Amino acid sequence: MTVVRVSSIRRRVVRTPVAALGSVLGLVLGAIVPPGALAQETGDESYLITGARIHTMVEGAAPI
Amino acid sequence: MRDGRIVDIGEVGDLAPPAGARVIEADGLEVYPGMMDSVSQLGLTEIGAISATVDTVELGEMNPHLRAATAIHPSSEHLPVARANGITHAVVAPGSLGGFGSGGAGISGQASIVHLDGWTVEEMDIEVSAGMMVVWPTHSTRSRNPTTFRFERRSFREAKEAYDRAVRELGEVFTAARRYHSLDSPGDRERDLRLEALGPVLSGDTPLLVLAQGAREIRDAVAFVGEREGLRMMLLGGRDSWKEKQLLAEKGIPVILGPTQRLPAEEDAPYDRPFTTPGELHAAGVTVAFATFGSSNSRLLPYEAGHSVGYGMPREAALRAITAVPAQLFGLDEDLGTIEEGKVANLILVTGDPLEIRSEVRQVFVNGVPVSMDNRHQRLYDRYRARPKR
Repeated sequence: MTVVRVSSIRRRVVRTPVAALGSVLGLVLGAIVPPGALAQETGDESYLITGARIHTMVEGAAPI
Repeated sequence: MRDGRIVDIGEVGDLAPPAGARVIEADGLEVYPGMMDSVSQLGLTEIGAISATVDTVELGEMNPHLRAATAIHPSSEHLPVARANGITHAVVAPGSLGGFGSGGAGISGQASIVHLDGWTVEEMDIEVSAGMMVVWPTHSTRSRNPTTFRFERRSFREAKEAYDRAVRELGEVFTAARRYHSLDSPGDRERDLRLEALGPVLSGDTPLLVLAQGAREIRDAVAFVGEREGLRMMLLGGRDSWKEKQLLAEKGIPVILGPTQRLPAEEDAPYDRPFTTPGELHAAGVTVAFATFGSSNSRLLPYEAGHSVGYGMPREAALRAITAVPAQLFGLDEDLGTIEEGKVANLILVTGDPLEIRSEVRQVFVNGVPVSMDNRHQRLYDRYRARPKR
C-alpha cells in the first residue's frame, strides 16, 4: 500500500504553477531582451579613435 | 572597432564611422598594438613571500598534463597594474622560473595565453595550451635540502651527476610519450594523461618552451631537441644565449629573453652584458622576444625592450619584440601583434614612444573595449599624495 502525505501533495500543488509561471516568464524575458543587453561590457560595441597617429607595427609600414 | 575587432584604419575623412560608434578623441596621442609579455606568471602568484598566494608549481617533476589557465586568478592585483602600462595579453607559464640548482627542473606544465581583462579565465582565454614548459636542469653546485629548506653546497661532480640524471629522466619521458602515441588503438594502452599531453609537442603543433640560462645548458637543450624529430623549441631566459648565437641562428631557435634589466651573472663580465645581448642576437639573425618572467614586474616589459635600444637593438625590432614577434611565435599573428583590419582590437593610446619611461599610457583597449585604468599602484600614489602634511 502506498502512503502519501497530504502536506507533500499540497506543497507540490502550490509549487508546480509557480515553477511553470517562472519558466514562462523566463522564456518571455529571453525573447524580448536582446542578448548582451544585461552585461556591462560585452565587447559588441563600436568605437572610433580620432586624431591619433597609428603605428601598425606591420613590418616596413609607416605610421598613419 | 566593432565586436572586439578592428574594422578599418585610415586618414581622417576617408573613414565612415560605424553607426552609433562612440568617438574617442585622441588628438596628439599615438596608437600602438597592445604589448604581449611572452612569459609571465601573471595570475599565478600574488605575493612571493606568502606561499598561499603562489600557485606556480605542482608536486612532482613531470607534469605535462597541467595547464596554467586552471590556476590563473582573474582578480590578481598585478593584472590591472600591467595593463595600465600597455600590456594587453600575456603568456602565463607554470614552473619555478627563477629556481636555483636542479630544484624545479622538469616539465612544469602547459603555458596559457590570456587577455589581461575578464571576470573569469574563460573570458580572458586566448589559448589554453600555447606551449609546454620545460625548466632545464642546471649544473649548480648550490642545492636546496628539501628536509631543512636550506641551501647547501655540493661538489661539481655531484652537481654533474644530478644534472645528467635529470636530463636522462627528461629523455625517458619523451621516449615513453613517443611509444605511447605510436600505439594505434586506444585499447592497446592504459590511459596516461602525462604522456597523452605530450602528443602535440611530439608533432610540433605545440612548441617546447625550454628555460635554460647557461651556455652549456643551452647547448645541451638544443642537442636534446635536435635528437628528437618533430620538436619545435623556443629558448626562454637565455642569459648566455649571446655565446651560442650562431648555433641558435643556424637552428632557427627563437629566444624569449628576460629579464635583461639586471646585473651580469659573471663577476668579470662587462656591466652592460645583459643589455647588449638582445641587439647581439638580433644582429646574428636570431628571432628575439622579451618577457618579464614574473607578475609584479610585467608592467616593466616596455623598458626591457627600450633599454635594449640604447645598447644596439634597432628600435623597430625592439617594439616588434613585444608586439608582432611573440604573436608570430605562438601562432596568433592572424589575430594579434599588429594593427590591421580584422584583427583583435588590443590597442593602447600613448602620449609618446611606449618604450620611453616618460611616456604615459592613457587608455588601453582589450578585445575592442576600453578597460579601466585604475590599479593598485595608482591608488597608492593617490593615497600618499594626499597624506596630511605636518
